[in-house]
Amino acid sequence: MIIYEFNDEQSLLEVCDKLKSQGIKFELYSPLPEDKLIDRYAPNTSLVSYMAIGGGILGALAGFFLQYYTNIYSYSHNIGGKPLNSWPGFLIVTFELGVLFCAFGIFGAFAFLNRYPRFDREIFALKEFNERRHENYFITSQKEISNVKAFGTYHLPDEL
Amino acid sequence: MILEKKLTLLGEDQSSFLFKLIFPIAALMMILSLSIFVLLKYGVEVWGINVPVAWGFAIVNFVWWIGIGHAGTFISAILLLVRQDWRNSINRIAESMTLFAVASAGIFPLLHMGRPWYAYWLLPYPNDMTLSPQYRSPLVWDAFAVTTYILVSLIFWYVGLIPDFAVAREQTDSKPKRIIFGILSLGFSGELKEWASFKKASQYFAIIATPLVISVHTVVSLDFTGAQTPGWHSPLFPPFFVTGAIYSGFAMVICLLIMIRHKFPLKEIVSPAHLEACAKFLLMSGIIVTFFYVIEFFVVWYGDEFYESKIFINRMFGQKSWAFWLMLVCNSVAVQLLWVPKIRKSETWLFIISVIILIGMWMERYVIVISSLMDTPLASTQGYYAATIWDWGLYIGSFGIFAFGLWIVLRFLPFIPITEVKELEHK
Repeated sequence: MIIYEFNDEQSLLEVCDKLKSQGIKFELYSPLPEDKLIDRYAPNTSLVSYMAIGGGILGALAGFFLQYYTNIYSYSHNIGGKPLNSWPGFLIVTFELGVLFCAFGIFGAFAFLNRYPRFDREIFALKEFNERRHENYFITSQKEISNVKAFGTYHLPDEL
Repeated sequence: MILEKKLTLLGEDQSSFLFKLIFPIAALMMILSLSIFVLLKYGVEVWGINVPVAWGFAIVNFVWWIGIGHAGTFISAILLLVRQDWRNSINRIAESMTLFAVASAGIFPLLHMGRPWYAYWLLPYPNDMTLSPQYRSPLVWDAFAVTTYILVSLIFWYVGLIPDFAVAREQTDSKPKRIIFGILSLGFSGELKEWASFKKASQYFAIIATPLVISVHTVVSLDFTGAQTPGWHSPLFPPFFVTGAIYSGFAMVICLLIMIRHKFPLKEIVSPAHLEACAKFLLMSGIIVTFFYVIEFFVVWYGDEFYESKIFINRMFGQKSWAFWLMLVCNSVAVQLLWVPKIRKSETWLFIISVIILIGMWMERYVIVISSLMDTPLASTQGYYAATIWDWGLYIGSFGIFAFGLWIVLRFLPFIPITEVKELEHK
């Protein structure tokens, strides 16, 4: 694996665009969550949206049917002449469980997308990365590319 | 690099000061433990509650603490959605405040049950006692709302911390800390996909936390509104409670920020501009709260209902009228000083006014809970309430939980969000 280090954004963008146009897979590590980079290379994070909405719907349905089942089937009592399915009263628990499961969904998607916990990343073996990842950009790629104006170039053995 | 190191090691640099803080916190925890021990040994009769005043300090303190938590979510979620960048450097302190304020609040309803070891009866679980929660009751809604609130706040807080744990893992010199921070960071490396999903997740959390925070204090207010007690049965309560919550919460945030600024070298990161912005929020929410006080009285006067009117007259001139006037002076009068820019910009004045507001907001809950239960026009429901030493013990002790939680954050965790401060600097 080859790792390039950049200390300016311009040369980073040049190399990334080149890799992208040649269809070579690369991973980009940046010190900050920069919108510019995220928009440009748009990593697919739609799972977060799907799991958020899925979790929310699942939680809300579970919340409602928990109360429905309890009041209609398992514990049906006439309380003050109120209808057994007094659904307006059930909406708060429905909402709260919807929000709770939505939060679980978001966290689950965030963890799943990045395969957390993930302590065995190859790039952690590079001392320079651990020291300077807060200042500089790093790119890892399986193929070497020519004419790169990098701040540093490192080779990691394929098997560690 | 220097900034990261500085922000990671804030707690370590002040370790001798923080060590000294252990003693007062331990004293508070001892008061708490003793109060709980006495309560469990003798039952809720050691408190001042009676018939008709069956709700006393425990509910007052519960509502007060939960309310304080709200400002944290307001700062971390609502101000994120409206892109108020200044919030970035104080959001972790505010969020931590939320977590531990809700934890402090949580002990009161549990202990109020008298037999807290049966607290799980509030949750729906299959049992052979033909027992089930009553889903039409606001008290059950409360159990769901508060549990959801603390869990969502905890996840939101933790997700925000993940990149900072990764920074801390690389900046700390001690090996055990490096391992612990490393595990907590889940192996975060700063890859673009991680950042993209991190940003998206943070935004989604903010989107769901916004209605959640409003729902929580609304549900707390429904505990009162759901009853047909004069003085409680009012549709005004939900927005009134939410605003009051944000009001007291901002007062607590200001107190904490001033204390932290005083001890830690953060004069530039938590700047006077932050305090002033919070002070303006305080002023605005104070005016809204005062508006609600006026409307509450107007509605009762305009409704011309005997029992309601009597309750409100007794609030002003009855046995606990001192509490009402103290509330009004603290919440509606003292805050007006913040119109003066010089006072608003002075840390000392701001601190004093915030403490006054915290007292005032506590008095507000006291007035609502106690006066409606004891000063009624019905002879059968007239009574008197006086808190006992164990009521006070539990209230003072609950500060122990709050202070201990914050102490852990200040001592061991990156309590200034490193990534967000760097982002601000980058911009």
